[in-house]
Amino acid sequence: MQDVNVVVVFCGDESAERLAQAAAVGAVQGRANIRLRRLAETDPRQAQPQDYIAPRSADAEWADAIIACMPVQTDSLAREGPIAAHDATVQSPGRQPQSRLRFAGDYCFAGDYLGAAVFEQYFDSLKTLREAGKLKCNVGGLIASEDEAALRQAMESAGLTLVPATPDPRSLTGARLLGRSVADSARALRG
Amino acid sequence: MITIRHASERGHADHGWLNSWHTFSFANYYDPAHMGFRVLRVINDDRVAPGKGFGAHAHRDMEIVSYVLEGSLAHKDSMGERHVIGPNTIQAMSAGTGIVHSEFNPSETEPVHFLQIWIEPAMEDVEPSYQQISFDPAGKRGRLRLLAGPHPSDGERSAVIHQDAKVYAAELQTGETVAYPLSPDRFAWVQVARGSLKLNGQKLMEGDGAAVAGEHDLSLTGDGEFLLFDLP
Repeated sequence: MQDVNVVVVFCGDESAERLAQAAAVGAVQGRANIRLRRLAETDPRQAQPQDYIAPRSADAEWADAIIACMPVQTDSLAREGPIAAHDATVQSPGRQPQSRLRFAGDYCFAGDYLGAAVFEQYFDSLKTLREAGKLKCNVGGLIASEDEAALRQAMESAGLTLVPATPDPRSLTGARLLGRSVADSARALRG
Repeated sequence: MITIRHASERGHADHGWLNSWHTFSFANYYDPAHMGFRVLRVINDDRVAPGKGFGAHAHRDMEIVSYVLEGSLAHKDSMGERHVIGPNTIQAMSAGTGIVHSEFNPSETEPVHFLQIWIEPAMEDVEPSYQQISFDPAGKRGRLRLLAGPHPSDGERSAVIHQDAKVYAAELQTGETVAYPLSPDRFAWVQVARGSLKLNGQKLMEGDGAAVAGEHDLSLTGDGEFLLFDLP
């Protein structure tokens, strides 16, 4: 089976992180090599987790496909039970426990979410790389609630053909299926 | 036959935040003569600086065992597992169909020193799983304490892995000896975690490993801690 490389980029809160992880797992299930990256935001409430680095040009040049994940309404994740319940009570040393899910929901729809703009800048940078002949990736996947149409357009402007959305793409199961589908599509395109 | 893999001959990577010795080929270290031993694929002897670690990355079809010698290691994965482990704890993760995880040193001041071991599974596409078992350090003093094996243990709790392999830890004080009978069709690997010991009379220093084939009775004497792998 031919190697295929998938970069999963997310931006925002823990809901986006979990969807990005699920999409990455799906791509791995599709026997892809993956890189998971986090686009930094400027909102001071968002501490930058140390688990991720920002996407680099080298990642885009390495990729056969790129998946973008943004925060979604948390109801769909909460329905999935134990993981969501677990996450909601996670404590960090020295901090008060907080409901991350609620925070995620507040943050996502409070009107100050910066992820869409950050993503649009990211896809603009991909477009520049494309024009310089440095990109080989043609396949994209998108998981988003707000600004989906604008993001879709930005990805297509960067030369990415989006795989069709899976049923319930904003659930962890849907994100896994999308990751798998993106890996399969990228492999099929490579022949 | 016992073949020693001297510590200084291992692959080495010093990234500043990570000082890693690779018993077998790993990452940028590639030596076709040292690709693993039987189903044992990786032993990395890692020291990670405070606050640093391995960002989110994926695994598939591998049994990944982590054993902390000093400090603590924070783990977070796509199964929703979030834990901090320290010494005298075995962490075993079956990557199976695929997982994403990260590992960090959560301390702001102390480095973490741990061994990460990869064992090839007997079957592919198992459901990913995570196990973490802490034990009383007295359980490894002067004796072999089972950390992981193919079946749930009747006595002390141990991690279950998808391979017919057993992993033991033992801590010896000067002059103490433990014996291990190795079945005729089995192989062993001994990895010295700290201190030094003699394996059937052959001296092993910290970081050394030894591949054992065709031996039936293993005798380990010394002053330190080691892992013993009983392998198909």
